[in-house]
Amino acid sequence: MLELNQLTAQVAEMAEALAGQRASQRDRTLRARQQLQACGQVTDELREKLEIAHRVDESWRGADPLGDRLDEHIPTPEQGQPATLVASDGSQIYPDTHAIALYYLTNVGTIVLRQGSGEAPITATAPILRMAEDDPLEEQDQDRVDADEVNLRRDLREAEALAALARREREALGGDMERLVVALADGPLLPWMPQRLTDPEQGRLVKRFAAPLDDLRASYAVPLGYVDRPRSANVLRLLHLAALPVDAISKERLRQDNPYDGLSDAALFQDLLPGQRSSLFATTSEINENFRQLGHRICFCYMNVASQPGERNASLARIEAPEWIARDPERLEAALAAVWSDCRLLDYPYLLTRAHELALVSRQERTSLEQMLRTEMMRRGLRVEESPKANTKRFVGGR
Amino acid sequence: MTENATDKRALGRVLRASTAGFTAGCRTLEDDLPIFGSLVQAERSDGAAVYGLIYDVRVDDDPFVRQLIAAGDLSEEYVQDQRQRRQVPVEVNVLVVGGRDKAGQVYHYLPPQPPATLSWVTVCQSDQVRQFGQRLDFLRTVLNAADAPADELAAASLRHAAAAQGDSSQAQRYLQDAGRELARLLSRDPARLNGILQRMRDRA
Repeated sequence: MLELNQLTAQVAEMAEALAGQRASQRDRTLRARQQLQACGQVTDELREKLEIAHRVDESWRGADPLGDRLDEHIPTPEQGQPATLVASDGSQIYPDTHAIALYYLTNVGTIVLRQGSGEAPITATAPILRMAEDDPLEEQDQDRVDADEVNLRRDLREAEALAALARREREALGGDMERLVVALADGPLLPWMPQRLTDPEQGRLVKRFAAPLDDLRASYAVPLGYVDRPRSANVLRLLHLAALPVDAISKERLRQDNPYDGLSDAALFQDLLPGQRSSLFATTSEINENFRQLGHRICFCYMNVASQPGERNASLARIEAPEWIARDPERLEAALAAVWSDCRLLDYPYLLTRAHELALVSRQERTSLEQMLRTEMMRRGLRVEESPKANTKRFVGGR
Repeated sequence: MTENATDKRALGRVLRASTAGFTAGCRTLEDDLPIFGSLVQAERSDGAAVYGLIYDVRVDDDPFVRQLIAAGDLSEEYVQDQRQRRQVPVEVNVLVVGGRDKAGQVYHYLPPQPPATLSWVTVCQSDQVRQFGQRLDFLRTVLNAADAPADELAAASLRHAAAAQGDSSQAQRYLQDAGRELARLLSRDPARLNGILQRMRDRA
């Protein structure tokens, strides 16, 4: 139990600290904006600094500008032609050693909305249940599947589902390549990968994540990753780099002396008006280098998807796209217009809200699933026992 | 769905039930929303059924729907998504007024058992409405209902039953018989009787 009366002073202290932090962040954000304007033009000197940064710190997670300026505020046009939007999202049940069996589940929800059709969107869910160790259904030998592994498998399934939907939609259009098909992923297109992976393991995984992008390209679809409330600071790191003298660039300086530490790019671009987006950049991470080698360097911009003006109402999203879309302004703008139109109702993509809702496994559904499993195990004469810990949690929890 | 309920149509399935009433969950479209006062049945696999009258239809909301309403203009695809794809059920509350046994015999008292969860609930066809309405014993159950708007329900159910009688003269005769039965049941409450008779006449 939580004795709230013991926390009164600590809560007040924390609120005080947060207020101080906010004020400092505001000042530093304003300084960052001034610097963004001051070095808005991408110069040869900045390019040289970027090269040095790559060289001295391979894993420096800055931003490589695609165009000539860093400080653009580009308005998204009103959507012209109706588009088809497809989206996917996933959820999971992690393996639990205290449960009746060591299993895990991934569930992917998908939705297809054909703008202008007047029809209800096509929705689906696809759950997969697997044992977390020695699963006879798995092709490869595997160690015990842990939470990181479940996340990877879920993310991969989301990406593959998106590619399959886009392919089906393009086929349903009977070869009509004119109609825009936007494939919206919940989260970044660059997958998160656990630190523990060896290089060959990472290489294999990157290939698997790049395959759906190959498919999407073949379907002439526009893949976009939508990151809500992004906390990344790639552009701020770039600003820090820009302020360093060429001969002072070192791994230590890049990592330690950043005056914008603790800020996010989203705060920097909070002054974008509704529908405006920032310049385009590419992430400078190692994984993105692997993606680049496979033809899918991932680029990003920030966009204010809010419908109401004013910094307080701003709803900043980081939108990721492969370079072959980022360098195709016509399709990029059309896809952003379609996404912005889908954001009008909630200041967030309606499609992702629904995909999330479809994917979600509620606590009640999990209980029902375990009941099904329990029954089937008992029919096969297996002893079904939760650990004493899980058992006691059940009767002391839920208050 | 027409007012005299000529089609046998699945309305939904039983969500929860007691011997005196049950609630069905359904995913209906705008044009198909269940009609107040209609006779419906929750079917059993052995051919028996529990009969009841719809007295309340609730369309649930949730924060998502509220947010969309606040957002203003909605294109048709979003509206259809909410109506057809989201699992926000329409809840239909039914007052149990009788049933049918395995042999097909109709009765007008509370059934021995409530319908089972997930039993199909269908709107009764005209001949079933006619057969059930031949005896007016169900009116007592309706008038005594605590949770339902009893007077409105009595009038609406009689209008439906009258419409199922065939031609208009048969319908008129049916309503006259029903009026007499109501007069007998409500002999001590003429004001209430008048109110119900008025509602029966309004759309008869």
